[in-house]
Amino acid sequence: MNEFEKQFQELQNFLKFEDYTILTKRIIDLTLDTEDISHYKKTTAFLEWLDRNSKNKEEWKEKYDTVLNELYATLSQKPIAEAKTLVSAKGIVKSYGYSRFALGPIHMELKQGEILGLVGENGNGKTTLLRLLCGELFPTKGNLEYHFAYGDPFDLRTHLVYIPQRTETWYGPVFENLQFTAASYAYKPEENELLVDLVITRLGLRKFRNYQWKSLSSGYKMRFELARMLLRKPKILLIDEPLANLDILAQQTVLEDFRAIAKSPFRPIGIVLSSQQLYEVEKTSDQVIFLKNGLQKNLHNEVVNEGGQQVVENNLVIEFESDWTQSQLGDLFERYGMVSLQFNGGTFIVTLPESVSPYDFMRIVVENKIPLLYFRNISNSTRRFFVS
Amino acid sequence: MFKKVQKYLLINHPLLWNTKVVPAVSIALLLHILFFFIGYFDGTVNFASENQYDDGIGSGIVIFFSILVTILFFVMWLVYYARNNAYKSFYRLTSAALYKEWLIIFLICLLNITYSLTYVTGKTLKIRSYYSKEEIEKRCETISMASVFIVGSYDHQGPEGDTLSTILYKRQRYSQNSLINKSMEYFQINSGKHLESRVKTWMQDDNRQAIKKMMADYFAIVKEHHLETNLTAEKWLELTYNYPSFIKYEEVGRTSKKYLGTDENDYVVEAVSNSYKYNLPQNALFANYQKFSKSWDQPLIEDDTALVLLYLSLSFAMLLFAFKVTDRRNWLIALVSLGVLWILTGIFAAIFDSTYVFFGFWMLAIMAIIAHFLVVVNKNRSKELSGISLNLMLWSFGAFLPIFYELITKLFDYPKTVRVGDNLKYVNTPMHDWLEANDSVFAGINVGIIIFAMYLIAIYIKRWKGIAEN
Repeated sequence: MNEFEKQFQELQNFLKFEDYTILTKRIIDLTLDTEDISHYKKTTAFLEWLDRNSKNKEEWKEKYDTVLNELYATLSQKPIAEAKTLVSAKGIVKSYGYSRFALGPIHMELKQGEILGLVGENGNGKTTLLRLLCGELFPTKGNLEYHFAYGDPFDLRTHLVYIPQRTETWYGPVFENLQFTAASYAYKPEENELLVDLVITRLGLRKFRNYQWKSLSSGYKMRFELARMLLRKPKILLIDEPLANLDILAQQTVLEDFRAIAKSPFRPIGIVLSSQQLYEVEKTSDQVIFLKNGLQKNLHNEVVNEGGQQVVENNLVIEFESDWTQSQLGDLFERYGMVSLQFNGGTFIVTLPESVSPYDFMRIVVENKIPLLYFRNISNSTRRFFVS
Repeated sequence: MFKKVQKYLLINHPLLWNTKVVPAVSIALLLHILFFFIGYFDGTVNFASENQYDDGIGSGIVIFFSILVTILFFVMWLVYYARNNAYKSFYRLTSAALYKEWLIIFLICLLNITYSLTYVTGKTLKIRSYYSKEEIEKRCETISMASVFIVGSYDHQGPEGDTLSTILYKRQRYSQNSLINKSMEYFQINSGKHLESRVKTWMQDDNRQAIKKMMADYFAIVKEHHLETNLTAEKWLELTYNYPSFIKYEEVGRTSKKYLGTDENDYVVEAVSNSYKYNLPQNALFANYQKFSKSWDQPLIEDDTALVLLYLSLSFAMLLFAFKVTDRRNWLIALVSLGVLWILTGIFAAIFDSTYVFFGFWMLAIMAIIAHFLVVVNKNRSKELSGISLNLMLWSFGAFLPIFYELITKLFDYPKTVRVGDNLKYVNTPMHDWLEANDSVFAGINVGIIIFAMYLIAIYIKRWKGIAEN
């Protein structure tokens, strides 16, 4: 089963459980993947039918099924895109001058279909790294290489869409601006309106199509930027704090949208996003870079073992909240070879040797009746770096 | 209609939609038509007026109004044009896209800056529409030659009260008060012709028939324009034609009118009395035929005026384009830098008391600005201060060749005075004279060079935009 078939299976499950909201979005994604005007027309007609028959849900399942099958028939013939490396950075450094902030060295690689999350506290270089990757800044040292064909530096930057935290100001209606974007990317005149219609529906802007940009809320302005991005067909999307102005539900929706966009079987793109929402980003991203004072921190350090070989250190790190004191907990975990115990903002973070498993931790808790409010295994989370 | 056209352009030709070229050009053309008709209406020749400089509404007012329209047009257009910027948003652009955008800006600037030219053209065409050039030449000759028989000045005149002095005309001696010594009034169209010689030869040869015909022609013109006179052609001949000395003649005065204002019909005038018994409407004829004469003698569009407006349009196009491809900060810093450069060059030129220093400094400055910009683009590392260089380059590169031309002209400038017969003549080197004579041609060629150079510069600007900020 290839990636498309896996994803299609997932869509059929959405249909089975009548999860129409997400199914509609994914149908639009598949429609855009066809790059075929006849499907654009069919899906647009289908969306209009949905608008007209919003109360008549009995027929919906049948209609959805028909549209899905038509899309399957076309897309199953299309070749699946190979996940090629888009950009690699080897030891890139950005220095703002002697004794001022410096970012790096950073090592990273991003492939098509991957999401890279940038996490770290404010002022630690997330935006600088995004600006380096989008070509807005040049690295003081190191090698930054893009692995796709492009002409001049301008052409390169057309492939790298950077959405800053404070987005550009736009004038005029949402729909008109998006039509201008589509026309600038040489979409055929007959597909321009259909495509823009699909994209704004995909991003939940359908009812705002004739609104002036300035009258959109900040969350919808972010969606507008994503709509522009979709029309621009970038190789890499770089987005700074996309979750900053969104409520928790909208955050999950946007992250799900990122996953769907990045992991298109036919038109995958690479996404680099920065955020303070650690768990949400980790859940969505294929890889995470944690930045502390401009330095890249890896989840697992390499250490030299007794045999003199370089091995990856893989300790068990547990975050938990308890009424016990640090001293009580320290005395207890010492017995199990505790590496460290830190108290941070009401929670404890205990680091135990690799030989201790999460089940062992739970056993210790149960056996010693440690009062716990919650616990979380953060061995593979950058959360453990957010400790003072 | 504009909405429909714009909608079509939005999805078919986004650059044309973004630049709002269709509404902008349409409105500019409508304004040109309006200015043409204002000019055409204003070109009406009114024989009630005796002032050749009387130009109806007034070119000054219309030109002031045209500047106002130009400013308003630019403000309106820029509000809509600046709404979208595919270049700043890094939308995909072809190599020629920026060049096309500059050409559109230039076209709109050119159309929006030349309203006064259209007004003048409309006015001239209206004046020309009265009579053909040949007809005007013929009538002006008649009026010029007739002026010999109307009160006026003399070619050679002794001190006041001197009635005894004589003049020599074609080997014959005449009293200085003879009509043979009478000055002739020329029009612009016939100023190079030997009309005086023609009419005075008729007089000397007693060609009464020719003089009579000339006076009859004059009266035909007077009658055509419904001008008042208390003479007839025959009476005029009888009163003034006194062969062979032409010393005894009745002085024929010029009807003069006082301008009182305007009413809904036309001018309100009243005749001003004079001491002459007989009067001819020479003042009105001369003033209005001078307008006809000028309209035919001058080209419809003066080369120099066209060049000035062309360069003004180029300057505006460069200012707007520079703003579009850089940003407000760089644009303003460049403007201040340019001012500082001007002051510095002025000081240097004053200290060294040499125009060579002035020209040389600017040529070096322009070369340095261009070199800095090209080095930054080719190095492809960071923009540094090249945003300012780009602005300065766009504003100044077009001046490089004209400065060089002026410098060369200056280098060949060796004026000297030579004696030619009894006269002293001011001469210069042939190269200098040639360069001076062809400066307008060169200015025109330079416009072509600027338009071509912009194609290459636009490609570099696109590359420059892709370079990292700092």
